[in-house]
Amino acid sequence: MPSIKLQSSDDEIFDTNIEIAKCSGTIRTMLEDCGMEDDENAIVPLPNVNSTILRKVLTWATYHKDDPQPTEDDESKEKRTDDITSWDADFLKVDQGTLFELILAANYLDIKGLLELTCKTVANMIKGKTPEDIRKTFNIKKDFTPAEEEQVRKENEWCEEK
Amino acid sequence: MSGRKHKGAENIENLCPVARKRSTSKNGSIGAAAAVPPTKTTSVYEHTSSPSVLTFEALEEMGIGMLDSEESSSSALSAIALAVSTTSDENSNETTPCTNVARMAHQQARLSLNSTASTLDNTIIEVFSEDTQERSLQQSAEKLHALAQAKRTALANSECSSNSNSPSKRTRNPLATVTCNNQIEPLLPPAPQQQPPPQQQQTPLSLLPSTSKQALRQKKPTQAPTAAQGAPPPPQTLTSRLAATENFFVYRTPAMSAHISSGINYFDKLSDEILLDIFKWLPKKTLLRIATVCRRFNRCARDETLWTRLDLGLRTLRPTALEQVVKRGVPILRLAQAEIQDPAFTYEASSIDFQSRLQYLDLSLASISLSSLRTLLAHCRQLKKLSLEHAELNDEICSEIAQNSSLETLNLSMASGLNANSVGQMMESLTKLNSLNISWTDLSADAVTALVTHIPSNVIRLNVAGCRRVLFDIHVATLQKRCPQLLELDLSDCNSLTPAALTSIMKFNSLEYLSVSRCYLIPAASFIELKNMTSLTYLDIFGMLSDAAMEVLEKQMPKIGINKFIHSSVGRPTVGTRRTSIWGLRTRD
Repeated sequence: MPSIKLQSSDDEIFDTNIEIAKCSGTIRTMLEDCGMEDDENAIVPLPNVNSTILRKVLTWATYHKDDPQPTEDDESKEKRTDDITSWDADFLKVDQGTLFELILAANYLDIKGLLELTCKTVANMIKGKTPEDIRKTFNIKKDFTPAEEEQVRKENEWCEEK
Repeated sequence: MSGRKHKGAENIENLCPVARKRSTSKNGSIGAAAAVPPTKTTSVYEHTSSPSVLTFEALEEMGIGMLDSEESSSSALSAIALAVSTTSDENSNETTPCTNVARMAHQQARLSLNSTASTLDNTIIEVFSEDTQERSLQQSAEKLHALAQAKRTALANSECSSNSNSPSKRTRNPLATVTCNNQIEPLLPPAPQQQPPPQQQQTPLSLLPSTSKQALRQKKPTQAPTAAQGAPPPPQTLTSRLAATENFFVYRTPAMSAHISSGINYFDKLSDEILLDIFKWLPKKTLLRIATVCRRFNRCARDETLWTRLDLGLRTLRPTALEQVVKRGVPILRLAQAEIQDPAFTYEASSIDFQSRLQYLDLSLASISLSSLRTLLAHCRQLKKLSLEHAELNDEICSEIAQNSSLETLNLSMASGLNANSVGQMMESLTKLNSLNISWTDLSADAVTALVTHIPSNVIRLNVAGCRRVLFDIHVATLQKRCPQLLELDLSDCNSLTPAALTSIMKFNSLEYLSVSRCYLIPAASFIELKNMTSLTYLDIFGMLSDAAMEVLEKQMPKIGINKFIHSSVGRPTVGTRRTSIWGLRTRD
């Protein structure tokens, strides 16, 4: 299998199977645009991803290398977040910092499956929590004035609770 | 709610709040819980750590997963140090185990990391109440830091390959997480000399209870703390400790959160675009709730990309809620059978300064006042499909409807308040209309005349059922000239029609469906003529023929399905079992 070299932001080189690397739209585009596909020694710099995160990303990409390409058709798809496989769930048993770094990496590398998975995971962390719980969980500062908060609260109380 | 369907997710979600309640409300038990022999406590958490169940919430519940972000590094370390001290006291039932912290820390190196971590939650309470021991804590923290770092190194080394599937990974040691955080914000100097060899580090991880043991323990997963409560701790100690600090489970209580709020808000690192990628997985109810978290959440949760479809069917909408709904820019809105309380808007129809993006609006059987309905429709200029089944209408409302020149489907079945003027106006303006249900609207003969003379010639599906004594053969003839392309025509209960109407009907070359149920003036024998209509597929003539006559007719017209549909579906948003899709479009995510 042909491989390419990926360089993380902290200058670590990852010798990677080219097919696995290509799950990233960003890398795919780089390879195609720069004609690097046949060059064994070509190094793809990934200045936005550090080695720890890149290693995780590649672990995920290796496991999911045979997945079908996610379809673009967002509209017809049902939005469910309980369809995370146990492997993925295990994979994402990481601290918040890593999880958010993975989101950023998946976004930068344009890996739809991983972005969807990580975003769903954060969504699941938000679900079922009160605003105060959410603030605590994610260290979010409440930046409303009391009047603003009251206004926002009013604007978002639509239905009578049954 | 989708959560009802997906029980698994709900359970996981619920883990957190429920357990939270326990941990904050039962402060009294916590001091005692700290004294539980670590093995017991461990079993509690291992219960939740089966791969399919362990979530961030679960981790957080253990006080583990989120520790690194919620706690400053120093307090996290102190916490660990304290965890160390308690764990090493595993054979005693003392509630205050922090006497020989430093020494115990050494011992800890040989203890299972798992038990350390799991007792952390219980022992962290000590952190802020035992200031005098700060220094020794710091020492033990250093030791543990080194230990955990070695652990992390070991993990990192094997991470690419086997680790992710190995059992040790499944019960991912939380200390690794904690150390990662320390990497980010190192407060302590690294102590590489003290790193035990990785081999040694791996060993405790594999010392997990066998599955059978686990199963046994799972039967009583929550009893460990209770049992501990039962074992009487020195009462004085407990009381004084309770008095000294309300901060049991420090990173849960508001008072303490303020104290340790140096954690990082990782959302700050995400662009709004990514934030929306996360929010798009949230149910609408959650989107409304998170708006009060902070300004940014409020702004992003309103983003119209998140509000492409909304089902408020059967809900009771508070006053002015509809205004908010319209402002969100929802294009597909289901309000069937909703009760919309007045005032639905804070302004009048005349002072509207924006157009809604509403295109598909289902107000079937909704309860809404005339003025609110008018204001709502005054926002709407892009409607494609509209259902006002059983609504109370007036001329103003009809002229608002008439301004939606792209309207294709209009369901006014059983609506009241229509007259010749309003019907004529709508029919003249709605040139794109192709499906119209105006059945049982108590039309006058003039209104029927206005209808058939102005009906747009695009209309291919028409239901004018229930025009008793006001719809005559001449109307059908006019209609046939106006809309020769009709595919569906429902004239049931238009009981003034005579066989002459059938002559006009026979001229519809494309007609596939015809209902003339209960048009009693048409004799049964005349229906046989309809067999010459090549396009006709279904004929409904309920209440017209005896069983015997029906049999004869069926033999005469073998290709036509007779009496297959009791109700017409013309223009109706929800037909059959798909109750939350309107006109075939989902209203839920």
